[in-house]
This record gives sequence, C-alpha cells and structure tokens, in this order.
Amino acid sequence: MKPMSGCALIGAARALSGIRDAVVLQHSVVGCHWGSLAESMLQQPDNFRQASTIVYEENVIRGGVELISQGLSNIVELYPHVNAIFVISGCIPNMIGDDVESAIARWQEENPGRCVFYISAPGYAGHEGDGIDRALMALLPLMENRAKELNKKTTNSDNTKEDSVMFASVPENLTPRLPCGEETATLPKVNLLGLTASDPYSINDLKYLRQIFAGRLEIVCALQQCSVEEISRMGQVDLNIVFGRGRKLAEQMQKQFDVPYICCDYPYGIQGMIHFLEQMETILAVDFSDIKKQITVRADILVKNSAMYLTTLYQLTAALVGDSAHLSGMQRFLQDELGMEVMIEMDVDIEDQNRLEKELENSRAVLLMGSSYQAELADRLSQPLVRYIYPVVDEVCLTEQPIIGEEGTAYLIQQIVNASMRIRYKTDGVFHELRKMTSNS
Amino acid sequence: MNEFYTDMMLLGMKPFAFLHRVGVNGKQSGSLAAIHEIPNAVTVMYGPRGCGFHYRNTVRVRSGPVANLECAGLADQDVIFGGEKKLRTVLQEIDREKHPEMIFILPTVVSDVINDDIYGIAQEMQPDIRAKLVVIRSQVFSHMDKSNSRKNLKELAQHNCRQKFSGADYRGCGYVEVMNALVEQVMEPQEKDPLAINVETFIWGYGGTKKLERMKALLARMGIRVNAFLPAAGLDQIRQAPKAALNLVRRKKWAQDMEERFGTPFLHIAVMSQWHGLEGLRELYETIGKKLGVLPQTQAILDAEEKRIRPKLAEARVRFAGRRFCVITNSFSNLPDVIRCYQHDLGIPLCHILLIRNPNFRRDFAVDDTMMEQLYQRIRGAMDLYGCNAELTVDPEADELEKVVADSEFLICGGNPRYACYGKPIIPGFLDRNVFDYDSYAEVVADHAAWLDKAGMPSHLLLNRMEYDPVFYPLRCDDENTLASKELYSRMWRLRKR
Repeated sequence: MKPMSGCALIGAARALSGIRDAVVLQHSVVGCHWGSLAESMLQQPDNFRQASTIVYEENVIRGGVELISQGLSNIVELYPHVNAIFVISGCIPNMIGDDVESAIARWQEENPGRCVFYISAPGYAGHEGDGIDRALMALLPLMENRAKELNKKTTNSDNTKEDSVMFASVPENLTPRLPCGEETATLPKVNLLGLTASDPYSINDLKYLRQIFAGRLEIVCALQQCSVEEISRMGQVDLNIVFGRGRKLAEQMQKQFDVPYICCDYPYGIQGMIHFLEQMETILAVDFSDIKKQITVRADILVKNSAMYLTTLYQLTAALVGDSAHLSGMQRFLQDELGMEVMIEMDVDIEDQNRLEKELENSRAVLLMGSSYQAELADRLSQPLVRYIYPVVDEVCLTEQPIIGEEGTAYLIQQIVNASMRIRYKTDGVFHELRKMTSNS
Repeated sequence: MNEFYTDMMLLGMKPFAFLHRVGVNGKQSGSLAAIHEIPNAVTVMYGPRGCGFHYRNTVRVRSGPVANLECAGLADQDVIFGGEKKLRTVLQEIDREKHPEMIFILPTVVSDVINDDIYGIAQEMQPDIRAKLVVIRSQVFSHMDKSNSRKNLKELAQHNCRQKFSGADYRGCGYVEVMNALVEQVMEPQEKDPLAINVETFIWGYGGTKKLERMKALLARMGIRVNAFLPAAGLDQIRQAPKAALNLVRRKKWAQDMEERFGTPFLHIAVMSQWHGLEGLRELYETIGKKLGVLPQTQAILDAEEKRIRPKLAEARVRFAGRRFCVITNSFSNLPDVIRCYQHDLGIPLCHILLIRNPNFRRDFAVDDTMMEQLYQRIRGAMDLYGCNAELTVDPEADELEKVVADSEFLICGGNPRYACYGKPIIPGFLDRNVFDYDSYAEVVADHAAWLDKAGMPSHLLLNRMEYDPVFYPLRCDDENTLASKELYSRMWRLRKR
C-alpha cells in the first residue's frame, strides 16, 4: 500500500497543534516527532510546541515510563505559559505496555495544578482521522471542568458525568484561572470542529469566517487556532459546526452538554458559502442577508475577471483527493459551481495512492486536486495539480489568502488555471511521439 | 543551471535546517536517501501506515516527496501475530505490477520489536520474485548511535589541527545500513581492476554531482577509472562494485565491511574541509595514486594542474592582501579548518575571529575541562601554524561585537544573516565549497575575490527587522515556543546518552 494519510499518532498531533498555549509530548521514537512536524510545519512555521520522549532500544526492554515525568517536568519549566500538556503515545510504548496513564497520574500528584491529558495513538491502530478523533475526545475533561464550575455557580450541585476513563484527571484549579463572564454575551455561539492548524489555509479561513460572523455569531473555539480557555468554554455554545472530522466529539458534547451539532461541507465557493450562511440563519436565527448580498456582488466581478477560463473549466474532467473535512465541499464546488466532471474521488484515510494511480491512468481526468503527495504522479502524467489539502510541503502561503467563500473561489480558479498553464506539454513538438515511432521503425 | 547555487536554493527552501533544531529524523530517512539514488528500485516500509506516509517527505531529496515508497501497513493484528502474510503479498504485488530491478525491505521500530524474520522470508521468496530482494538490517533502534556526536568530538579534540579526522563510523545510520546491505546481499566477487575505484555518492555538499564529474575527469587523466558511483548505480554495477581496487568514501562503516568481504581498501573523506586547497587536492590524489601504484603519473598531472592555476590564485591573493576580514562562527571543532582554508589556502588575512558559542556546548557534548583545553589548543595551534594573527574573541558582549565589526571590512559568517545588520559586506559561507579539481578551485577563489568588488550593502533589508538567534539559526530570538521546543528536545535527547 501507499497510504495517502498518516497514522493515528500523526492525526492526534495534528489535531492538537493549533492550541496555542498547549504543548504536545510524543511518547514515541524520534521519527514520529520529526515526521509529524515535517508534514505540517509550513502551515505554522513560527510556533513549535512539540517534543518527543525519544523512546529508544533500552526502553523496549526496560520500559519508558520514566521518560514521561522527565518530559513533563521539562515542559513546565521551559514553557511558562503552558495551560495544557498532551501526551500522545505511539507504537512502541503501546507494544511494550508502558502504563502512561499511571505515570502521568504520579507526576500530577507531585505537580498539582497541572493539566495533562493522555491520548493513546499507536500508528498501527488507525489512520489520521482516527487519531484526530482520539485527540478531540481527549479535550472533553477540559469542558467538563468548566461545566462543573458553571453548575456549581447556578445550582450549587455537580451532576456532570464522570466518565473520562482514558483521560488523566484535570485539576480543579484550572478553572479559576479562566476568565468568567463571556457566557453572558448575547450573540449565538458556535465552535468549529474538523480543521487543524496543519490544514493549508485553515488559519486564514478562520480569520475570514470571523470577519463574516462579526456582530452576528461568536466563534468560541475553532480548533485550528485556539486556547485552552476557549476549549474549556466549548460546552457553553449554541451549536457545534462539524466540518467532516470531529463528529464523535460533537456527539459526545451533545450528550454531555446538550450542544447540538450540524455537519457541514467546508464552504468552498460562492454558493458553498451562501449555503453555509443560510444553514446558520436557519438554526441560529441570525441574519446574513447583507453578507450574502456582498458575496453575490463580488461574485459577479469574479465571474467577469475569470470569464475566459470558466468556459474551459466547465466540464473539465478532474480527479479529487481529499480528507473528510474537505472532500465533499470541494467536490460540490467543482461540480456545482465550476461545472467540472469529477471522475475520481478518493478519501485519503480510506483509499490508497496505488489505486489512485491506476484509476488516473485509465480515466479521462486531466486535473488533479490533492496534496503535495500527488505531485510526482501529476508530473509523471503531465497533469496540473492543485494542492488544497494536507500535507502541502512544496508550497507556502505567506499572505492571509483564504480558500473558502468568494475570495477563495477566485483563488482556487487562479490556482487551477495557473497550474494548467505551467504544464510543460508537447514541448518537443506537437507530433513528437510520431517522430519517435518513425525513428524507431 | 549552476548546480551549486541551485542546490543551495532548493535545499534552503526546505524546512529541514529548522526542524533539526527541534528534532532528528528517524534512520529510515537515511535509508531512503540511499535507495533514492538507485534506479528502478522500490522500497517496502515494513511498518504501520504512518511510517509509509511521513517518510516520503523526510529524505534528503531536492524535490518533492519520494514516489517509490510502499508500505506493508501493519495493523493491530500484525503486531500480535506477525506481518509475514502482508509482507509476502506486497512483495508479490510490487514485483508483478511495477517490475522493479530491486526491492528493498526496510524495517521500522515496530517490525524490529515484533522481530519477524524478514531476511528468512525474503530468502524463501526470492526464487519466485524477479526483482532482487534486499533486506535492510537494523543495527540500532530508531536512530543512529546516540552517542556518536560526542565520540566524534572527543576524537577530534585529541587530534592536532593537521591530522585528518578518521572517526565517525555512524553505527545504525539508516544510510549506512543500506550500504551494508548492498555489500552483503548484492555485491559479488569480481576480478579486480587495479586502476578502478568506486566513489561513494553521499553528502559531497552543494553541487555534488558536478564535483564528482570533475573528479572523475581528473582521475581519468591520471589513468584511473571510476568503476561505480555508489549507491547511485544500477543492480549490475552494484554487483560488480568489487572490481574496484579502492573505495573513496564519505562513510567508512560499509567500506570496512566491503574491505573485509572483498578485500577492497578505502580512503575515508570524513571531513571535506580537511582536504581543501592545493595541499588538500594534492594529498587526496597522491593518496589515491599511491594506493593504486600510479603515484608518478598522478604527481605529473597534479604538478601541471597546480602550475596552470597558480597565477589565478596569486592574482586573488594580491587582491585579498591588506583587507580586513572577520570570521564569525559557532563551531569550536571546525574553527582550525576555517582558519586554514581562509588564511592559508586562500590567502585571506583574518584580523578578527569571533567565536560565539552554544551556551550549552559543554553540557550537550559532555565536554570536560581537559577536552575544552584541547579544543582551544587546536585553535591556537592552527593560528600559529597558518600564520593567523587574528584577534580571537569568545562570546563578545554587544558593544565588543560592534567594535570588532567596526574594525573589519568584510564579515565571513556562514549561513547566519543576523550580522547583515551591521552594514558590512558579508562574504557567504565558504566551507561547503570544497571542490576536487583545479579549475573548480580556481573558480571558488575567483568568486571570493569578486565579493570584494560588491558595492555597498543593502540598507533596507527585511531580514534586519528581526533577530535570528546567534547560535541556533534559523530560529528567531523572539520565538519563545520554538526555542523552548529546541531546549526540550535537547534535554530529552541528552537523557538518552547516559
């Protein structure tokens, strides 16, 4: 197999990489630490908050739990502003049976007041999506603590469910450090689930959404860029917006905190964004009519600017590779707004690149939408590739360019057109292949 | 396209220098770097899907992720019951569908722990598989010998500044593990060609291909043939590698193995800068000539080459004379070589040397007082030996640094651009421009002389708007989290060295 996405450990590390005041400690070998950083660092290059316990051969024999306390102690010394530490264990500690939970608990006894969470994510136990789910579920104790605090205030009783079997305990003293009072604001509140800091453009998209939502909706927590305090307030929102990933967490939050959720396509395109805003209008009784109007007006300008290309993009045959956060939204955009024929559609967590190669070679698809990991294939087939999902390791975005909504629509069209124009195609002559055949004979 | 500058550009665009401050890659990365050089080869990563995924992006390739990496995709069941079935299936599929000449089976930490008999499986399957199966054997777990850097520094400290470094056997380095596998499983006994050598194609610096092409041309004039570039060779060439009478290598562990198995001696270029300049070139080729029994022919060519380029070198020396150069470096161990290369080989008069140390140098490399004194002694020895009258300043305060810079006309400060803020012309890092033929050397010298003509310094450099860390470039001084991650990694890594 040639996997198009990583393992559970990589997924867990990605899911947590956007929490600005948290540090990830990978209890695993050096390669996992390096690999997960290498795939994602271009999206957030100036803020590393991850380390490894560097599991080595002696730990296979003697166990490696002592590394946990050493790692944790170093973290609290070196990151004075850290509000949460996430310990993710990889393949080897799980194979040798390191009791990481107990090690964390012992350390917490000696270091009260520290917030440490444990995620078991051996690489052999699932794909990236599984790891993202595991990591997101590990955030629940933070929300529970907040809920307890609020309940104490209102009912003076604590009826919050205590079921965090796989989680280390959350010290009660976390909540006093959190500012209170935001719950009284009047705007409907939402969380955004499913995106990570390592998803290309995700941080820019969040800025864009905040602008659109301003004065109408409050984004309490968006996991691609948030704080521990924001996570703790996730249970006090009106709606969880789930972009593909994070459904398990949303379901659990519905049970525990009565927060409803909605699964949405990532709002690529003009209509994608308008539809998304309409969903918010329906559920949260907010009014985005002026924003929708603005988007429509700007869409008209965009259409004029790209008129000569839209005709070519219409009925263009494409292959689409994506993860569950992005795939359906992009498919809808390509088909519904650009009129493309999506001939191949593959979920990176489920499908295999070898299958993609086979299908692509036998298909009519001439445009490839995916990640840097399809670059060699695209080169080989002389196909334009637009990188829109993780991992993007051969392209950077240094501007605030979003990829959703009307601005993103213009950008996506531009990317598709430019990628196509840059293909070096038939450079040796239009009938070069025929020439070769004659000389061979 | 100029290969040196193209390599510099493309590798500079990769984030790996940055990443190396906060971690190291697993040894599979080195293995893939070696296999990537071999045409028509496929690698099967015998591990979970994550290894097969992220390692595509962590090898030392100039372009994007590697393509020919397959993965067994070991899952829960395989960890418990063994992954043999999956391995057999994937090998058969690759052989049938991709028709490679060689299939490398690369173990991971998971397969090393479950300890499947990969070699036995490969041997059993080989008769039915068209491709040559090569099993990489782990020499250590996860990453190469973790005490290696300390051992190397210790050995280096004990050398005087003229001695060639010969340590660095890199036990467990993934790259070397592949080379060992080629020696043990692919190479076959051959009748020796007394005038043929193999040249290892690994870390010759930017522009490595051009360097080796020109080396090959120069060797040809001496009557010496390159039998194979290793591992950048096809199956047949690798099989016939033992034809060579000498290996010219950058990593000696596999060469020792080849010497033992096939009687092929080797010449180890452990530190390229120790073979720099006219003296370095002469020593390199004379050693090769001597080992192959063609010293007189070799010397005749070297004499002619030196005579041909000396006027060009003299011209540059005249231009350097009387100017004031300041070297800024973080490296204790390299500094003697730096002094020799600039002062002695190039004729660049150094008036100042600023040594800005890693504040944790002694801690990180377990340097005791004796070793520290040895390292200083090497530096002082090099200054005496090469007639360097520079003032050596260690860890200067800001005002001291400014004074030194003010007293200098040109700064030579490697890759760290933080010193551009002083408005003095910066001469780019030089040591990586080690070349192995005379025309290239003359070009390098001329390039340096040309920097003297550069008019003025840019006065609105964007990079001057931030401060890069003086030691841990390219980290920035104001990036607290990343600096903390760097320190955390360093502490955890040291725990492994007990």
